[in-house]
Amino acid sequence: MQVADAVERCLNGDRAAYEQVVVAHGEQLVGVLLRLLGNVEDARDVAQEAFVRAYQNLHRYDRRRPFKPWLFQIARNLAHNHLKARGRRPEGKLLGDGENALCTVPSETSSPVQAVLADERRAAVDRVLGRLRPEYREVLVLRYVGRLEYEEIAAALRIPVGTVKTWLNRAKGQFRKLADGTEIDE
Amino acid sequence: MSCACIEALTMSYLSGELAGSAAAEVERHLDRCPRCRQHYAEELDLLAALSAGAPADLAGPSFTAAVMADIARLPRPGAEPPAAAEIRFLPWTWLPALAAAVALVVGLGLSWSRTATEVAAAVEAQTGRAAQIWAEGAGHLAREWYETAAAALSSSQSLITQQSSAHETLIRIATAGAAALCLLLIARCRPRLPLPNHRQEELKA
Repeated sequence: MQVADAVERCLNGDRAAYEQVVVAHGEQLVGVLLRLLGNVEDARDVAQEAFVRAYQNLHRYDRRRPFKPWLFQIARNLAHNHLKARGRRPEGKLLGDGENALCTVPSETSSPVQAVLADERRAAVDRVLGRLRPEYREVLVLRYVGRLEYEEIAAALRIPVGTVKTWLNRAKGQFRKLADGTEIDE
Repeated sequence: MSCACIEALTMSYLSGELAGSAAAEVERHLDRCPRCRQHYAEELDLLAALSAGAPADLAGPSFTAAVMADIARLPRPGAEPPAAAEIRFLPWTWLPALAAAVALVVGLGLSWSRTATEVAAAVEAQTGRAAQIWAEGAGHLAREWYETAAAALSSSQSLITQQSSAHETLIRIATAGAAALCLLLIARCRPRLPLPNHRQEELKA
């Protein structure tokens, strides 16, 4: 409700109310983009652009529907464009390419040992995610990092809820197998 | 609340986004439904697995400040866009160019007509001469007939070459004229859009 009110206030000219929207969804949005793009700087840049695009198009947003899937849909489109652009550059590294840029994310609060362990865990999760089919990776990340309900994922990806459930079940099964070191049938 | 409803609220509940009464209802259901309890446990397991090692504070105050700084430069959502390109047709800029283009097109047409007529007349004259020689039935004049026909052909080719050269020149001039006209129109119709943010900041500095 708070986000809906903030959106309403923005549309009435209260620009500062948008801060509430950014605070409410920023962490999860950057988290999702981090898993999809594999690089914290890119994730922040794309998330920032997504918030700006969402603000610019706020008058087009259907207020009868939840805001979060709409925002994530914008971010997802931007992430895809970003990956396409990066794919054209030889220095670009995609998720699952082995050595991952995430390993260089600085940790501000933990000790060096904790930071190294966190890096290893993060890299391990990314290696597993990188081996999944893109659509499975996407639903898994939207669900467990973006914390979207089935219907919200369906709205963000513009696919039926049934497809979301099917993909999620397969994705979860494959994620568990790969995490256990078992090969999957692709 | 049915099992389907409980499943549809999983993430809202696990993220603490459910209001008090709804959250209490989910908890009551979980207490008596082992299947949903199992589902929630698996979801929690995956939440933990996928957030493993994720850096905290990914979108902290500096991120919010950066977004809000961008927002501050934007117009209100749905506000009228900046005025569209203002098109001003001033006679002293585009009329002479248009007149030159028209003159070139007319000249091109006249030139084509003139050269084509000349070629036709020359070929006709030489053909007539050849026919006359043929009519005289003088087989011994075959050489003269051949030379006359060759001369007619050479004359026609010469005229056609001249015509091609003239047309090429005229086409070049016409193209240059059209390009100049386009440039003039573009210069006059330049959209008056706001400068990009980094340019505005540079100018302010």
